Amino acid sequence: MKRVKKTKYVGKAGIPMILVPGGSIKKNTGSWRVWKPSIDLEKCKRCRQCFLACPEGAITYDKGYPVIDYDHCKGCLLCYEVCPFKAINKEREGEEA
Amino acid sequence: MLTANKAVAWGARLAKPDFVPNFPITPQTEIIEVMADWLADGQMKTKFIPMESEHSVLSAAIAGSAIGSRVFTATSSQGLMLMSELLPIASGLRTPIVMANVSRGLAAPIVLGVDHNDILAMRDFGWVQFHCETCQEVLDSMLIAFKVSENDNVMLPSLVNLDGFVLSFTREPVEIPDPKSVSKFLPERKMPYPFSRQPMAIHPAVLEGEMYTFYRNQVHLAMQNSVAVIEAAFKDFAKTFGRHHVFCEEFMLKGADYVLVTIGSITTQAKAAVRELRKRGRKVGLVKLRVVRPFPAKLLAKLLSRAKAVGVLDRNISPGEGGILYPEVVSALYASKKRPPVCCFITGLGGKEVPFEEFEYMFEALKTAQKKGQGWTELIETEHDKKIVKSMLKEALGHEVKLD
Repeated sequence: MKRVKKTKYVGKAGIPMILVPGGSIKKNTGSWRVWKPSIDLEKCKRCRQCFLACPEGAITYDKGYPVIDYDHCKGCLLCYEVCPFKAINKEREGEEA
Repeated sequence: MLTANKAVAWGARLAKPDFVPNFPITPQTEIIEVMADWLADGQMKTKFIPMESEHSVLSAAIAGSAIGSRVFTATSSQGLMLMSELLPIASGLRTPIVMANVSRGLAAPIVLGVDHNDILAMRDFGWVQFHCETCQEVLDSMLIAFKVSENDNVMLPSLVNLDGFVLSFTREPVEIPDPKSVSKFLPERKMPYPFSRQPMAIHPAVLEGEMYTFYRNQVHLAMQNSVAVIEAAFKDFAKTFGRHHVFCEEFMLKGADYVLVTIGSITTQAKAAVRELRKRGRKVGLVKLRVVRPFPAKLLAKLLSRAKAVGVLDRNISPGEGGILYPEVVSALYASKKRPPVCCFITGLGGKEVPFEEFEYMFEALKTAQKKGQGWTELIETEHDKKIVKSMLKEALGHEVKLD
Protein backbone atom coordinates (compact mmCIF):
# COMPACT_ATOMS: atom_id res chain seq x y z
CA MET A 1 0.00 0.00 0.00
CA LYS A 2 1.27 3.43 -0.91
CA ARG A 3 1.35 5.74 2.08
CA VAL A 4 -0.64 8.90 1.62
CA LYS A 5 -0.24 12.31 3.17
CA LYS A 6 -2.15 12.65 6.43
CA THR A 7 -5.39 14.62 6.37
CA LYS A 8 -5.16 17.91 8.25
CA TYR A 9 -7.70 19.65 10.43
CA VAL A 10 -9.95 21.43 7.97
CA GLY A 11 -12.12 23.39 10.38
CA LYS A 12 -11.16 26.73 8.92
CA ALA A 13 -11.71 25.57 5.34
CA GLY A 14 -15.37 25.07 6.11
CA ILE A 15 -16.12 21.46 7.02
CA PRO A 16 -16.11 21.24 10.78
CA MET A 17 -19.81 20.44 10.91
CA ILE A 18 -21.74 17.73 9.15
CA LEU A 19 -24.20 19.75 7.08
CA VAL A 20 -26.24 18.10 4.37
CA PRO A 21 -29.57 18.97 2.83
CA GLY A 22 -32.15 16.32 3.71
CA GLY A 23 -30.08 13.43 4.97
CA SER A 24 -27.40 12.15 2.63
CA ILE A 25 -27.78 12.70 -1.11
CA LYS A 26 -25.32 9.96 -1.97
CA LYS A 27 -26.93 7.34 0.23
CA ASN A 28 -29.83 5.66 -1.50
CA THR A 29 -32.02 5.27 1.59
CA GLY A 30 -34.98 4.53 -0.68
CA SER A 31 -33.75 0.94 -0.81
CA TRP A 32 -34.68 0.52 2.89
CA ARG A 33 -38.37 1.02 2.14
CA VAL A 34 -40.94 -1.60 3.06
CA TRP A 35 -44.08 0.53 2.62
CA LYS A 36 -44.29 2.88 -0.32
CA PRO A 37 -46.43 6.03 -0.17
CA SER A 38 -47.92 7.38 -3.39
CA ILE A 39 -49.78 10.64 -3.85
CA ASP A 40 -53.18 10.73 -5.50
CA LEU A 41 -52.98 14.08 -7.26
CA GLU A 42 -56.74 14.21 -7.83
CA LYS A 43 -57.43 14.24 -4.09
CA CYS A 44 -54.42 16.47 -3.19
CA LYS A 45 -55.38 19.98 -2.03
CA ARG A 46 -51.77 21.18 -1.94
CA CYS A 47 -51.88 21.84 1.81
CA ARG A 48 -48.17 20.91 2.21
CA GLN A 49 -48.67 18.91 5.41
CA CYS A 50 -46.75 15.98 3.91
CA PHE A 51 -43.86 18.26 2.98
CA LEU A 52 -43.66 19.54 6.55
CA ALA A 53 -43.87 16.08 8.05
CA CYS A 54 -41.27 14.31 5.91
CA PRO A 55 -38.25 13.75 8.18
CA GLU A 56 -35.99 12.99 5.22
CA GLY A 57 -36.82 16.08 3.19
CA ALA A 58 -37.80 13.68 0.41
CA ILE A 59 -40.92 15.60 -0.66
CA THR A 60 -40.44 18.51 -3.02
CA TYR A 61 -42.86 20.51 -5.19
CA ASP A 62 -43.61 20.56 -8.87
CA LYS A 63 -46.14 23.20 -10.00
CA GLY A 64 -47.59 23.34 -6.49
CA TYR A 65 -48.05 19.58 -6.20
CA PRO A 66 -45.91 17.39 -3.92
CA VAL A 67 -43.47 14.93 -5.49
CA ILE A 68 -41.83 12.11 -3.57
CA ASP A 69 -38.15 11.42 -4.14
CA TYR A 70 -38.22 7.62 -4.08
CA ASP A 71 -34.41 7.42 -3.99
CA HIS A 72 -34.50 8.81 -0.46
CA CYS A 73 -38.00 8.06 0.87
CA LYS A 74 -37.50 5.46 3.61
CA GLY A 75 -41.19 4.63 3.69
CA CYS A 76 -41.87 5.85 7.23
CA LEU A 77 -45.43 6.79 6.14
CA LEU A 78 -45.58 9.96 8.21
CA CYS A 79 -46.96 11.70 5.09
CA TYR A 80 -49.64 9.03 4.85
CA GLU A 81 -50.55 9.61 8.52
CA VAL A 82 -50.71 13.42 8.36
CA CYS A 83 -52.57 13.87 5.06
CA PRO A 84 -55.95 15.42 6.02
CA PHE A 85 -57.56 14.41 2.70
CA LYS A 86 -56.37 10.79 2.59
CA ALA A 87 -54.69 11.64 -0.69
CA ILE A 88 -51.71 9.43 0.05
CA ASN A 89 -51.96 5.69 -0.48
CA LYS A 90 -49.64 3.03 0.85
CA GLU A 91 -48.69 -0.27 -0.63
CA ARG A 92 -46.05 -2.85 0.16
CA GLU A 93 -42.88 -2.32 -1.80
CA GLY A 94 -42.79 -4.50 -4.93
CA GLU A 95 -46.53 -5.25 -4.86
CA GLU A 96 -47.78 -2.28 -6.89
CA ALA A 97 -50.67 -2.97 -9.14
CA MET B 1 -19.86 32.47 49.79
CA LEU B 2 -21.18 30.18 47.10
CA THR B 3 -21.76 26.47 46.78
CA ALA B 4 -20.14 24.94 43.71
CA ASN B 5 -23.60 24.44 42.25
CA LYS B 6 -24.27 28.14 42.57
CA ALA B 7 -20.84 28.84 41.11
CA VAL B 8 -21.86 26.82 38.05
CA ALA B 9 -25.09 28.81 37.80
CA TRP B 10 -23.10 32.06 38.10
CA GLY B 11 -20.69 30.89 35.41
CA ALA B 12 -23.62 30.15 33.13
CA ARG B 13 -25.30 33.46 33.96
CA LEU B 14 -22.16 35.42 33.12
CA ALA B 15 -21.68 33.50 29.87
CA LYS B 16 -25.25 34.49 28.83
CA PRO B 17 -26.39 31.26 27.20
CA ASP B 18 -29.21 31.55 24.66
CA PHE B 19 -30.67 28.20 25.54
CA VAL B 20 -30.71 26.06 28.69
CA PRO B 21 -32.57 22.75 28.33
CA ASN B 22 -32.57 21.06 31.72
CA PHE B 23 -33.61 18.16 33.88
CA PRO B 24 -33.01 17.95 37.63
CA ILE B 25 -31.05 15.20 39.39
CA THR B 26 -29.36 15.02 42.77
CA PRO B 27 -26.84 16.58 43.40
CA GLN B 28 -27.17 18.89 40.39
CA THR B 29 -30.73 20.18 41.08
CA GLU B 30 -29.54 23.34 42.85
CA ILE B 31 -28.01 24.61 39.59
CA ILE B 32 -31.37 24.42 37.86
CA GLU B 33 -33.22 25.84 40.87
CA VAL B 34 -30.95 28.84 41.16
CA MET B 35 -31.23 29.61 37.45
CA ALA B 36 -35.01 29.24 37.56
CA ASP B 37 -35.08 31.71 40.46
CA TRP B 38 -33.05 34.25 38.52
CA LEU B 39 -35.27 33.80 35.48
CA ALA B 40 -38.38 34.31 37.61
CA ASP B 41 -37.22 37.64 39.00
CA GLY B 42 -35.74 38.80 35.73
CA GLN B 43 -32.06 38.73 36.68
CA MET B 44 -31.29 36.40 33.83
CA LYS B 45 -32.67 35.98 30.34
CA THR B 46 -32.49 32.74 28.44
CA LYS B 47 -34.67 30.11 26.81
CA PHE B 48 -35.08 27.78 29.77
CA ILE B 49 -36.89 24.53 29.04
CA PRO B 50 -37.39 21.75 31.59
CA MET B 51 -37.63 18.55 29.56
CA GLU B 52 -38.87 15.03 30.13
CA SER B 53 -35.50 13.30 30.38
CA GLU B 54 -31.78 13.84 30.11
CA HIS B 55 -31.83 12.17 26.70
CA SER B 56 -34.18 14.88 25.46
CA VAL B 57 -32.11 17.56 27.16
CA LEU B 58 -28.98 16.76 25.23
CA SER B 59 -30.93 16.23 21.99
CA ALA B 60 -32.38 19.71 22.36
CA ALA B 61 -28.99 21.09 23.35
CA ILE B 62 -27.40 19.69 20.17
CA ALA B 63 -30.15 21.15 17.98
CA GLY B 64 -29.87 24.52 19.74
CA SER B 65 -26.13 24.60 19.42
CA ALA B 66 -26.23 23.56 15.77
CA ILE B 67 -28.24 26.62 14.79
CA GLY B 68 -25.68 28.87 16.42
CA SER B 69 -26.91 29.56 19.93
CA ARG B 70 -24.81 29.26 23.06
CA VAL B 71 -26.09 26.29 25.02
CA PHE B 72 -25.54 25.32 28.62
CA THR B 73 -26.89 22.40 30.58
CA ALA B 74 -26.01 20.39 33.68
CA THR B 75 -26.46 16.85 34.85
CA SER B 76 -25.08 14.13 37.10
CA SER B 77 -24.26 10.40 37.11
CA GLN B 78 -27.38 8.48 36.00
CA GLY B 79 -28.47 11.48 33.97
CA LEU B 80 -25.14 11.57 32.18
CA MET B 81 -25.54 7.86 31.49
CA LEU B 82 -28.92 8.44 29.91
CA MET B 83 -27.35 11.18 27.79
CA SER B 84 -24.47 8.96 26.78
CA GLU B 85 -25.95 8.02 23.41
CA LEU B 86 -25.86 11.67 22.43
CA LEU B 87 -22.43 12.57 23.72
CA PRO B 88 -20.49 11.32 20.67
CA ILE B 89 -23.18 12.85 18.44
CA ALA B 90 -22.56 16.25 20.03
CA SER B 91 -18.84 16.00 19.38
CA GLY B 92 -19.27 14.56 15.87
CA LEU B 93 -21.64 17.34 14.88
CA ARG B 94 -19.21 19.83 16.41
CA THR B 95 -21.68 21.53 18.68
CA PRO B 96 -19.83 23.57 21.34
CA ILE B 97 -22.20 22.83 24.22
CA VAL B 98 -20.93 23.37 27.75
CA MET B 99 -22.28 20.94 30.32
CA ALA B 100 -21.59 20.81 34.02
CA ASN B 101 -21.48 17.35 35.52
CA VAL B 102 -21.81 16.91 39.25
CA SER B 103 -20.00 13.63 39.84
CA ARG B 104 -21.87 10.96 41.73
CA GLY B 105 -21.44 7.18 41.90
CA LEU B 106 -23.29 4.91 39.50
CA ALA B 107 -25.97 2.43 40.57
CA ALA B 108 -26.30 -0.34 41.57
CA PRO B 109 -26.35 -0.11 44.55
CA ILE B 110 -27.67 3.40 44.36
CA VAL B 111 -25.46 6.04 45.95
CA LEU B 112 -25.42 9.83 45.97
CA GLY B 113 -21.84 10.56 46.99
CA VAL B 114 -19.02 11.59 44.69
CA ASP B 115 -17.37 9.05 42.43
CA HIS B 116 -15.71 9.67 39.06
CA ASN B 117 -16.99 6.61 37.22
CA ASP B 118 -19.69 8.68 35.54
CA ILE B 119 -17.46 11.34 34.02
CA LEU B 120 -14.54 9.06 33.18
CA ALA B 121 -16.85 6.66 31.34
CA MET B 122 -17.43 9.57 28.96
CA ARG B 123 -13.70 9.96 28.37
CA ASP B 124 -13.63 8.70 24.78
CA PHE B 125 -16.56 10.63 23.34
CA GLY B 126 -14.74 13.73 22.12
CA TRP B 127 -15.71 16.11 24.94
CA VAL B 128 -13.13 18.38 26.53
CA GLN B 129 -13.07 17.60 30.26
CA PHE B 130 -12.25 20.11 32.99
CA HIS B 131 -12.01 18.81 36.56
CA CYS B 132 -12.39 21.17 39.50
CA GLU B 133 -11.09 21.21 43.04
CA THR B 134 -12.68 24.37 44.41
CA CYS B 135 -15.83 26.43 43.84
CA GLN B 136 -13.73 29.20 42.33
CA GLU B 137 -12.24 26.77 39.83
CA VAL B 138 -15.76 25.69 38.94
CA LEU B 139 -16.86 29.23 38.06
CA ASP B 140 -13.65 29.99 36.18
CA SER B 141 -13.78 26.69 34.28
CA MET B 142 -17.28 27.48 33.07
CA LEU B 143 -16.09 30.63 31.32
CA ILE B 144 -12.91 28.97 30.04
CA ALA B 145 -14.95 26.01 28.73
CA PHE B 146 -17.18 28.26 26.62
CA LYS B 147 -14.17 30.06 25.21
CA VAL B 148 -12.36 26.84 24.33
CA SER B 149 -15.40 25.05 22.91
CA GLU B 150 -16.42 27.87 20.62
CA ASN B 151 -12.95 28.32 19.16
CA ASP B 152 -12.80 27.59 15.40
CA ASN B 153 -9.91 25.21 15.92
CA VAL B 154 -11.85 23.17 18.48
CA MET B 155 -15.64 23.35 18.03
CA LEU B 156 -16.11 20.53 20.52
CA PRO B 157 -18.42 20.31 23.52
CA SER B 158 -16.99 20.61 27.04
CA LEU B 159 -17.76 18.99 30.36
CA VAL B 160 -17.00 20.86 33.56
CA ASN B 161 -16.80 18.34 36.36
CA LEU B 162 -17.41 19.13 40.02
CA ASP B 163 -17.69 16.59 42.80
CA GLY B 164 -21.12 15.83 44.23
CA PHE B 165 -21.82 16.88 47.84
CA VAL B 166 -18.15 17.42 48.76
CA LEU B 167 -18.05 20.36 46.37
CA SER B 168 -21.57 20.87 45.09
CA PHE B 169 -23.01 21.69 48.52
CA THR B 170 -19.95 23.20 50.15
CA ARG B 171 -19.88 26.96 50.54
CA GLU B 172 -16.56 28.59 49.74
CA PRO B 173 -15.53 32.18 49.10
CA VAL B 174 -15.89 32.77 45.37
CA GLU B 175 -14.95 35.87 43.48
CA ILE B 176 -17.58 36.63 40.84
CA PRO B 177 -16.04 38.36 37.83
CA ASP B 178 -17.72 41.53 36.64
CA PRO B 179 -19.95 41.06 33.58
CA LYS B 180 -18.08 43.66 31.53
CA SER B 181 -14.75 41.83 31.65
CA VAL B 182 -16.59 38.57 31.04
CA SER B 183 -18.08 39.85 27.80
CA LYS B 184 -14.61 41.02 26.82
CA PHE B 185 -13.16 37.60 27.62
CA LEU B 186 -16.09 35.72 26.14
CA PRO B 187 -17.76 37.64 23.30
CA GLU B 188 -21.04 36.51 21.80
CA ARG B 189 -20.88 33.27 19.88
CA LYS B 190 -20.40 33.72 16.15
CA MET B 191 -21.73 30.84 14.11
CA PRO B 192 -19.14 30.26 11.41
CA TYR B 193 -21.33 28.22 9.07
CA PRO B 194 -24.90 29.42 9.37
CA PHE B 195 -27.94 27.92 7.73
CA SER B 196 -28.11 30.81 5.37
CA ARG B 197 -29.30 29.78 1.93
CA GLN B 198 -31.72 26.93 2.42
CA PRO B 199 -33.25 24.73 5.07
CA MET B 200 -30.56 22.25 6.03
CA ALA B 201 -30.60 18.97 7.87
CA ILE B 202 -27.57 18.00 9.84
CA HIS B 203 -26.68 14.43 10.65
CA PRO B 204 -26.88 12.43 7.40
CA ALA B 205 -28.53 9.01 7.23
CA VAL B 206 -25.51 6.77 6.85
CA LEU B 207 -22.07 7.62 5.62
CA GLU B 208 -19.67 4.83 4.79
CA GLY B 209 -16.47 4.08 6.70
CA GLU B 210 -14.26 6.44 4.74
CA MET B 211 -16.38 9.49 5.50
CA TYR B 212 -16.92 8.34 9.07
CA THR B 213 -13.16 8.01 9.52
CA PHE B 214 -12.67 11.49 8.09
CA TYR B 215 -15.16 13.08 10.47
CA ARG B 216 -14.00 11.23 13.58
CA ASN B 217 -10.41 12.06 12.66
CA GLN B 218 -11.44 15.72 12.52
CA VAL B 219 -12.78 15.38 16.08
CA HIS B 220 -9.47 13.80 17.08
CA LEU B 221 -7.45 16.58 15.46
CA ALA B 222 -9.71 19.21 17.02
CA MET B 223 -9.06 17.67 20.43
CA GLN B 224 -5.32 17.87 19.75
CA ASN B 225 -5.75 21.49 18.69
CA SER B 226 -7.57 22.21 21.92
CA VAL B 227 -4.33 21.86 23.93
CA ALA B 228 -3.00 25.12 22.51
CA VAL B 229 -6.43 26.74 22.70
CA ILE B 230 -6.87 25.85 26.37
CA GLU B 231 -3.38 27.12 27.11
CA ALA B 232 -4.22 30.43 25.41
CA ALA B 233 -7.56 30.62 27.25
CA PHE B 234 -5.78 30.07 30.60
CA LYS B 235 -3.37 32.90 29.76
CA ASP B 236 -6.15 35.20 28.62
CA PHE B 237 -8.10 34.40 31.77
CA ALA B 238 -5.13 35.24 33.98
CA LYS B 239 -4.70 38.54 32.13
CA THR B 240 -8.37 39.51 32.43
CA PHE B 241 -9.24 38.22 35.89
CA GLY B 242 -5.86 37.69 37.55
CA ARG B 243 -6.45 34.06 38.45
CA HIS B 244 -4.06 31.48 37.09
CA HIS B 245 -5.06 28.07 35.80
CA VAL B 246 -2.79 25.32 34.50
CA PHE B 247 -3.14 21.84 33.02
CA CYS B 248 -1.24 20.26 35.92
CA GLU B 249 -1.04 22.03 39.24
CA GLU B 250 2.12 21.29 41.19
CA PHE B 251 1.97 21.15 44.96
CA MET B 252 5.15 20.84 47.05
CA LEU B 253 6.72 19.07 44.10
CA LYS B 254 10.18 20.55 44.68
CA GLY B 255 12.43 17.76 45.87
CA ALA B 256 9.52 15.36 46.19
CA ASP B 257 10.43 11.68 45.91
CA TYR B 258 6.91 10.32 46.27
CA VAL B 259 4.22 12.01 44.22
CA LEU B 260 0.48 11.52 44.21
CA VAL B 261 -1.64 12.31 41.12
CA THR B 262 -5.20 13.44 41.83
CA ILE B 263 -8.26 14.98 40.20
CA GLY B 264 -11.20 16.80 41.76
CA SER B 265 -12.02 17.80 45.29
CA ILE B 266 -10.07 15.04 47.05
CA THR B 267 -6.99 17.09 46.11
CA THR B 268 -7.73 19.46 49.00
CA GLN B 269 -7.53 16.59 51.49
CA ALA B 270 -4.48 15.18 49.76
CA LYS B 271 -2.78 18.58 49.93
CA ALA B 272 -3.43 18.78 53.67
CA ALA B 273 -1.92 15.32 54.07
CA VAL B 274 1.11 16.25 51.98
CA ARG B 275 1.64 19.39 54.08
CA GLU B 276 1.43 17.39 57.29
CA LEU B 277 3.83 14.71 56.02
CA ARG B 278 6.26 17.39 54.84
CA LYS B 279 6.24 18.76 58.38
CA ARG B 280 7.30 15.35 59.52
CA GLY B 281 10.22 15.52 57.11
CA ARG B 282 8.91 13.21 54.38
CA LYS B 283 9.68 14.09 50.77
CA VAL B 284 6.19 13.97 49.32
CA GLY B 285 4.40 16.03 46.69
CA LEU B 286 1.29 16.19 44.56
CA VAL B 287 0.18 16.87 41.00
CA LYS B 288 -3.42 17.79 40.31
CA LEU B 289 -4.81 17.28 36.81
CA ARG B 290 -7.21 20.01 35.71
CA VAL B 291 -7.85 18.65 32.23
CA VAL B 292 -8.33 14.95 31.50
CA ARG B 293 -9.31 15.30 27.83
CA PRO B 294 -7.10 16.35 26.10
CA PHE B 295 -4.72 14.46 28.39
CA PRO B 296 -1.60 16.52 29.11
CA ALA B 297 0.68 13.48 28.78
CA LYS B 298 3.97 15.20 27.95
CA LEU B 299 3.65 17.79 30.68
CA LEU B 300 2.67 15.19 33.24
CA ALA B 301 5.56 12.91 32.24
CA LYS B 302 7.96 15.82 32.68
CA LEU B 303 6.65 16.54 36.16
CA LEU B 304 6.57 12.91 37.28
CA SER B 305 9.80 11.56 35.82
CA ARG B 306 11.79 13.23 38.61
CA ALA B 307 9.91 11.25 41.29
CA LYS B 308 11.11 7.95 42.75
CA ALA B 309 7.60 6.52 42.86
CA VAL B 310 4.23 7.79 41.71
CA GLY B 311 0.77 7.03 43.09
CA VAL B 312 -2.45 7.65 41.16
CA LEU B 313 -5.48 8.29 43.33
CA ASP B 314 -8.45 6.89 41.46
CA ARG B 315 -11.89 7.74 42.77
CA ASN B 316 -13.37 5.27 40.30
CA ILE B 317 -13.10 1.62 39.42
CA SER B 318 -13.03 -0.16 36.10
CA PRO B 319 -13.95 -3.66 37.27
CA GLY B 320 -11.31 -6.25 36.45
CA GLU B 321 -8.75 -3.59 35.59
CA GLY B 322 -8.55 -1.03 38.40
CA GLY B 323 -8.44 2.75 38.23
CA ILE B 324 -9.27 4.52 34.97
CA LEU B 325 -6.73 7.30 35.39
CA TYR B 326 -3.90 4.90 36.23
CA PRO B 327 -3.27 3.48 32.72
CA GLU B 328 -3.35 7.04 31.35
CA VAL B 329 -0.61 8.15 33.72
CA VAL B 330 1.43 5.00 33.08
CA SER B 331 1.25 5.41 29.31
CA ALA B 332 2.21 9.07 29.65
CA LEU B 333 5.34 7.98 31.51
CA TYR B 334 6.21 5.14 29.15
CA ALA B 335 7.81 7.45 26.59
CA SER B 336 10.08 9.19 29.10
CA LYS B 337 13.60 8.00 29.83
CA LYS B 338 13.12 7.83 33.59
CA ARG B 339 10.15 5.69 34.49
CA PRO B 340 9.32 5.60 38.20
CA PRO B 341 7.11 2.74 39.41
CA VAL B 342 3.45 3.75 39.48
CA CYS B 343 0.87 2.53 41.98
CA CYS B 344 -2.89 2.81 41.65
CA PHE B 345 -4.85 3.56 44.82
CA ILE B 346 -8.60 3.18 44.53
CA THR B 347 -10.45 4.89 47.34
CA GLY B 348 -13.23 7.33 48.14
CA LEU B 349 -15.76 5.46 45.98
CA GLY B 350 -19.34 6.66 46.29
CA GLY B 351 -18.29 9.52 48.55
CA LYS B 352 -16.46 7.36 51.12
CA GLU B 353 -14.39 9.43 53.53
CA VAL B 354 -10.66 9.33 52.93
CA PRO B 355 -8.95 10.05 56.26
CA PHE B 356 -5.36 11.19 56.75
CA GLU B 357 -4.27 7.64 57.64
CA GLU B 358 -5.10 6.49 54.11
CA PHE B 359 -2.87 9.14 52.56
CA GLU B 360 -0.12 8.23 55.01
CA TYR B 361 -0.52 4.61 53.95
CA MET B 362 -0.35 5.55 50.24
CA PHE B 363 2.96 7.36 50.63
CA GLU B 364 4.27 4.48 52.75
CA ALA B 365 3.26 2.07 49.95
CA LEU B 366 5.09 4.22 47.41
CA LYS B 367 8.28 3.69 49.42
CA THR B 368 7.78 -0.07 49.09
CA ALA B 369 7.09 0.35 45.37
CA GLN B 370 10.39 2.18 44.98
CA LYS B 371 12.24 -0.64 46.76
CA LYS B 372 10.52 -3.29 44.65
CA GLY B 373 10.94 -1.23 41.50
CA GLN B 374 7.36 -2.04 40.58
CA GLY B 375 3.94 -0.56 41.22
CA TRP B 376 0.59 -2.26 41.71
CA THR B 377 -3.14 -1.64 41.84
CA GLU B 378 -4.90 -1.68 45.16
CA LEU B 379 -8.32 -0.87 46.51
CA ILE B 380 -7.82 0.63 49.94
CA GLU B 381 -9.97 -0.87 52.68
CA THR B 382 -9.67 0.16 56.30
CA GLU B 383 -10.77 -1.58 59.48
CA HIS B 384 -13.38 1.14 59.88
CA ASP B 385 -14.86 0.45 56.42
CA LYS B 386 -15.01 -3.26 57.12
CA LYS B 387 -16.71 -2.72 60.46
CA ILE B 388 -19.48 -0.76 58.74
CA VAL B 389 -19.94 -3.38 56.02
CA LYS B 390 -20.01 -6.19 58.60
CA SER B 391 -22.62 -4.50 60.76
CA MET B 392 -24.81 -3.70 57.73
CA LEU B 393 -24.61 -7.26 56.42
CA LYS B 394 -25.39 -8.60 59.88
CA GLU B 395 -28.49 -6.46 60.03
CA ALA B 396 -29.61 -7.61 56.56
CA LEU B 397 -28.88 -11.32 56.94
CA GLY B 398 -29.35 -11.83 60.66
CA HIS B 399 -25.98 -13.46 61.16
CA GLU B 400 -22.27 -12.60 61.11
CA VAL B 401 -20.50 -12.69 57.72
CA LYS B 402 -16.80 -13.46 57.49
CA LEU B 403 -15.18 -11.04 55.05
CA ASP B 404 -11.56 -12.23 55.13
